Amino acid sequence: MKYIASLLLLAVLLPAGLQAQACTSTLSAGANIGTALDGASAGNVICLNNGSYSGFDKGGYSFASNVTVRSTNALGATLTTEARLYRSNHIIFSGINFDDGVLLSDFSSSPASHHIEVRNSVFDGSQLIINAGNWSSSAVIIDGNTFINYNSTGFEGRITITRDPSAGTNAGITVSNNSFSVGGCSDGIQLTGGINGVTIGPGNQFIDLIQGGCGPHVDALQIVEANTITITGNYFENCTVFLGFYDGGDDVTLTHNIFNTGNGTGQHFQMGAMDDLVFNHNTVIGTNTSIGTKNDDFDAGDPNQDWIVKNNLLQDSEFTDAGDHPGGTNMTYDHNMFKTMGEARGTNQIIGTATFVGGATPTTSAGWRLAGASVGKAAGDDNRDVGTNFPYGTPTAPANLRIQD
Amino acid sequence: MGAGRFMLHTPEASGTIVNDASVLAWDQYDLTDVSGFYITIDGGADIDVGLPNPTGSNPTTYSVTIGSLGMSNGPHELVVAAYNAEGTKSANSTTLDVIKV
Repeated sequence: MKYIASLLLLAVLLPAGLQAQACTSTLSAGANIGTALDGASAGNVICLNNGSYSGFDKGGYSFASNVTVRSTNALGATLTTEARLYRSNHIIFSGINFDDGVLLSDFSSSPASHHIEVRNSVFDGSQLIINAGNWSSSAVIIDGNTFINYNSTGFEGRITITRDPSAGTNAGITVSNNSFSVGGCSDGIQLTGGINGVTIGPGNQFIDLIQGGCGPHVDALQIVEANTITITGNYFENCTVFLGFYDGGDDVTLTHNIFNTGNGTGQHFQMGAMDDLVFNHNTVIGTNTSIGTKNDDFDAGDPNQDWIVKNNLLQDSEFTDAGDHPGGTNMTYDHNMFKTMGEARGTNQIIGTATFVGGATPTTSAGWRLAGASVGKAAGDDNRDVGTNFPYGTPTAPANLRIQD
Repeated sequence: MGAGRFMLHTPEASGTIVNDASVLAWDQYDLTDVSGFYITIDGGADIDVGLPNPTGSNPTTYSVTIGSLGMSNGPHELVVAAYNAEGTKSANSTTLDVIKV
């Protein structure tokens, strides 16, 4: 099952409603986008006619409401050199081919950027780097983009988010509804440099990210010393490493994700030096998890500790303690569902074979929710279905409101 | 009411007499997508009470004390609604009339 075709189509057809906004100025191919931004006012929509444009290295823009830069026709405009934006706010880029990538960085100066959005664009062989040095609650959104064919030469992620200097709190960055697939020697997303306050999801898809003969890491999602990270409502399929958490992180919460069949027989989750990790209500199919810190890890002296792993659905998947510091301390495994007792660990295990709303091979996220008669229905410690409960429906109304004797 | 007769206004609202120690409870038959509950008093702002004191299954009963809601003395209308992980609300429950003393 591949979601990516539909996602690519979505990127072409639905630039988040922004296409409906009337252009206040229109540039022809070759025009200077930086100059157009210099002359923009709050609420302006700068449209780029089909063709190629140079990138820009600009900053210091502060608008009272969003200024949008978009292709006149979705993905009709291509920036052939890097787009660099610093110390700015309220700017949206939408429906653009960024052939040489995007860099959002304040270069250690203030004021901090905020309210920047990159939407519905394509990064083919290029990279989006965010240096959130002193950002706090930035409301930066990366949504609906496609990342393909990138071979890393520095930062490993097709999206890399770092923090240099490490000055802000709760960066406030959301990465949602993006597609990572189709070749390239690079991670999907890498979080590094002590970044905190990033939400990955919902709706990202990581498909066919294969290490193969690549030199650089090819992990769907890698964390290198990041903290207060939420990863929710994403879909992972056929990757060599779904989660490359080799190098430590604190307060990382994964909920309602689907990990569908790792590529090869290696360790699809590699979890070391992770403190206060919550792994709750995820669906994990055909995936090997290795838990333990290695001596050559970035944070080698820190064993895993204080984990809560509960309400997950694991089928043909198991946890293995491995590495130089296998397992961890104060690790709670509870109310997880396994196919066999041989795979199970922890307390209150549920044993059985799950059936899904979408049949044996679901083709939508909603299809991965448990069918009405499945083992695991309402079997979590919160009385909800084990595994993913995403996408969320509208609850039924409470009944019998009363004063209780 | 016949023509020419006065409609008498009743100053005392009807409802169950409650105090701070009284327990407000409700049932949730289907827990799918329920992340918590909002209580509203007299149509005011939502009070997020999370998933308070669950007991039983199908239905699961949740409860809060009246004192935790910060309600003034007098008659009030209470309703409860569930919400999901994205904050989307269910329809409201039926209304419960109470008189706080």
